Amino acid sequence: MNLFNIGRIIIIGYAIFFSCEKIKPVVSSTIQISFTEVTKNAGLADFRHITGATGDKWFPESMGSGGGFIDYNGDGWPDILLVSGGVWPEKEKTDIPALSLYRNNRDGTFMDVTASTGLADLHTYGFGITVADYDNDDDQDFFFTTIWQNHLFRNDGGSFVDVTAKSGLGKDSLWSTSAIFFDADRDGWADIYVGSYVDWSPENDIWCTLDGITKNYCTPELYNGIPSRFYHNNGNGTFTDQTEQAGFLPAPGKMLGAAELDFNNDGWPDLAVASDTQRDLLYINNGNGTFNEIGAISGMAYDENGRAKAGMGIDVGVVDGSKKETIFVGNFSKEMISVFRHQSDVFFEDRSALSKIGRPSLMTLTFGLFLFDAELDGDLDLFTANGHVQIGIEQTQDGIYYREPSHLFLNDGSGHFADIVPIIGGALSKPIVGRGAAYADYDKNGTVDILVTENGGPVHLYRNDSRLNNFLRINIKSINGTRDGLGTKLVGIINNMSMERRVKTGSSFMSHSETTVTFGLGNAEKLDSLYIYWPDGTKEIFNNINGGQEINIIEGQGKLAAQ
Amino acid sequence: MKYLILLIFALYCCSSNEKQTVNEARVNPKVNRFLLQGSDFLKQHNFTQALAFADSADKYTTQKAGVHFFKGRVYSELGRFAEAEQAYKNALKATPGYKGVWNNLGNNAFRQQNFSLAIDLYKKELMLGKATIPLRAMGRAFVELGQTDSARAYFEKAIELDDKYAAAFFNLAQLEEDEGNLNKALKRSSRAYGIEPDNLEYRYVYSTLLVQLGRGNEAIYNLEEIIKKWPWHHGAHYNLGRALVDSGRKGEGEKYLEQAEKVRATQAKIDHLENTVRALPDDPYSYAALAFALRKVGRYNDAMHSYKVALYLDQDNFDIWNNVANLYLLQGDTITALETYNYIVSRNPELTDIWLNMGVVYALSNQKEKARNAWNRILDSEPNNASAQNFLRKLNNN
Repeated sequence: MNLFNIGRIIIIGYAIFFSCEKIKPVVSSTIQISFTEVTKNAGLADFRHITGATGDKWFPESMGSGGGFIDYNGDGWPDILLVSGGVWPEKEKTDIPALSLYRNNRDGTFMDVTASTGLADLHTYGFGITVADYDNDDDQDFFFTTIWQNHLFRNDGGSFVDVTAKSGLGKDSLWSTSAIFFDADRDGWADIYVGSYVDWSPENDIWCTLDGITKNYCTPELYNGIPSRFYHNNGNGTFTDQTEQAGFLPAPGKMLGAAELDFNNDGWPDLAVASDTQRDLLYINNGNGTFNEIGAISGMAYDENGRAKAGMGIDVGVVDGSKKETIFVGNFSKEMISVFRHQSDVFFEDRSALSKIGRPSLMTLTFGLFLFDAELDGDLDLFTANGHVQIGIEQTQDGIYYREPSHLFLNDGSGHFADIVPIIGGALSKPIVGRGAAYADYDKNGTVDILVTENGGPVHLYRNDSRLNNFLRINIKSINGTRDGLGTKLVGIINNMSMERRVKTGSSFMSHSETTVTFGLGNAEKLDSLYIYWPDGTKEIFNNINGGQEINIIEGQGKLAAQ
Repeated sequence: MKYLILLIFALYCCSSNEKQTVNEARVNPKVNRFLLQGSDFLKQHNFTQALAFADSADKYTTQKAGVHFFKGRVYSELGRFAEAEQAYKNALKATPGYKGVWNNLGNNAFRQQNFSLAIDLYKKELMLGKATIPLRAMGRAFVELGQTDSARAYFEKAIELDDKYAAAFFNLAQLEEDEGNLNKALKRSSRAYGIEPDNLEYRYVYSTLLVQLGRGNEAIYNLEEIIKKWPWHHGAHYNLGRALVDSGRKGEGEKYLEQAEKVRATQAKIDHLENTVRALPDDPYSYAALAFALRKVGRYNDAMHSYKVALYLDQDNFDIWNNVANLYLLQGDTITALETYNYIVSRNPELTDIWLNMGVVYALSNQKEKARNAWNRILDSEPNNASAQNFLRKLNNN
């Protein structure tokens, strides 16, 4: 010990370049991409997301909410479920329904059935939905996240019953965001991972500013993150919190998106998680429904400079001939969309810039994000819904806008993308305050359509009017896995080239897309082969399936049924 | 002498200012001397003194442009953009076409994220004559606006003028990297690093590109050297971790990745504090908080800058003065630390903590009598001060 304590003085104050074999474009070169906004004609124009903002700039008001597709009445036509946001009980007495459900009339229009399906009486401050048949009774149930208690709704013949209390999923009162159903332990029952954000309440709200004068919305760095939770499905309508036992603790929190994948092809579902201003996470399944978090060592947690980005929406898919899964994460403005392709072992390579997505995505703030085959040419393209969190950002950051156009990055088949929105213009180029994003073929014409929610604004339904390539759509039903086949891998083969798809929930930002699998066939008339890898480890093969149709396949029956 | 005059303008201005200033100095040597002294103070982040010397120079010259230009630089460093703009405009009023003014105004617009305005201002500078600095600055502004073709063109124009302009090569490397052209980026960054091998930022980017290209083993030595000099640099830790893992040294790599996470968390706090001072440029405590965070990670020079801005905003804040003195000590500058302590107690002799610290520093530098005097000074007003008594007892026993 030094005689004089000096401490006293201080105290006062890869790229291993895969030469990836390209998924050969099976598309004619004259394909034209076109999306038409049909929100009004579809009967969705009256919907408005409510932020509850009254001028205090409370943090959750900038978050927005999700929505998506659910076939609540089991007629095979995707219906639309939207989260309405909410109001603050301290400030406003007016309650609005937390959810809005619209039935697909099978003619391109929708009808509000919120009240008749039992959803009109719930009032809360809501964020996200995820849909699955958690009780394996052949209908679609859903889970709803809020800033307080979350809710589980059981589908009873086309109307919903709030079974939160009975299910054991309502014990926590935390700010939850995106959630994902997946069968972590492959016991045939859908478990759920519920993302948590930060420890915020009106009482601990922090004053943030861009100009030193006016309060503005804070960014999450100022708040403590709350670790997300994992609930195991007991198979009897109840869930047990196994967050710690399953290996999901500790965690930094501030989670905004989660996607299921199986990067090591061991048949066990892994989980990729997007975190806002924290490292992104990769949970590898230990082969028994427990997980290890390996994001940092895998190389997917940070950007090339070791910086944690503001992760929002997330999705995973095979986008090139490498047959390796690639993770896509939407981030803040002045941050590239993250693109990480599995390399080998547990390692991923950063392809954010190499994919050609990075630079064009630098000026936008991406929330909802998903992979789909926009022009049915066989490869997965990337759609992103964009919008800033700070109203008036234009005044403080030149080149950044509150309302932003969407991106539609078309894949050339080799994992290189180009944003075509600036070229095609139209509905997707209209600046909006984008948040949630989901897809489904709502008009059942074979092309995949897009639903986007806005913060404090309308919903947008973009009909895919792209000149048709051929397609094949497949609904699966598992017997030994979860009834809706979560975790099933489908591989379609045309001309020796493969297309890989996965049946999953989650992904994007607080939203739910259809679980029907779409294969773009280009000019081909049929799919040469279809391999189905069921969650129980069995495999089925079907050959010479004609395109231009939607088919149903039930595990183990060895036959296809046209819908 | 000419070298010293150049130093005054080294940070911001175009090279032709040298001539402008020399001409003014010929008019009156006092002006030159005052500006030199002001420049010295500016280098030490002593903003108030720098401005005082500028005022002194002002009294002795009729050609005011250089003085106003210098004031513009001081206010720019303080982040007081309105005052800087006024000073620069005064310089233009005194001498229209004064070189460097439009460039510096452009820099300030850039710092305020008004990139379109910055471009307009750089263009005005370029109308006075082609120069590498505003050309590169134009490129950087175009990058921020996402207009990469224009950015590339301006970087290349800067290189056409000076093929040893490392900063422009560096910016081109970053541009190529963002566009996924990693081999081109490596080539550009290699050029920048080759021109300025002591520039750690160039060395770092060159190394990260090697890591991205799967040549991490070639980057390990460089990254280790960077971490020695910049232990607070999370990117260097992260990339070293990745390079080691990629080279099969997984255990070592994981340690650096863990360390990177810790450093990153600290950097995130600093980033937030930097945003706060941008939002609250008149708040001395925001600058002091930033300085404290920077000092904690060992970025002493940056910390000193922030403390000095805080002092500019609140000259009578003795807590900040004390932290400045302590920081001098950490930098190994005992003399200035003691001068600062003495300055503080000359302003307020009742601050016992300062006397206490001053005594400790005297004792550490073996000036026992001065240490004794400092601690006794405390006992004059606080006879029962236990810390002072304890220090004195230890001093007498040694």
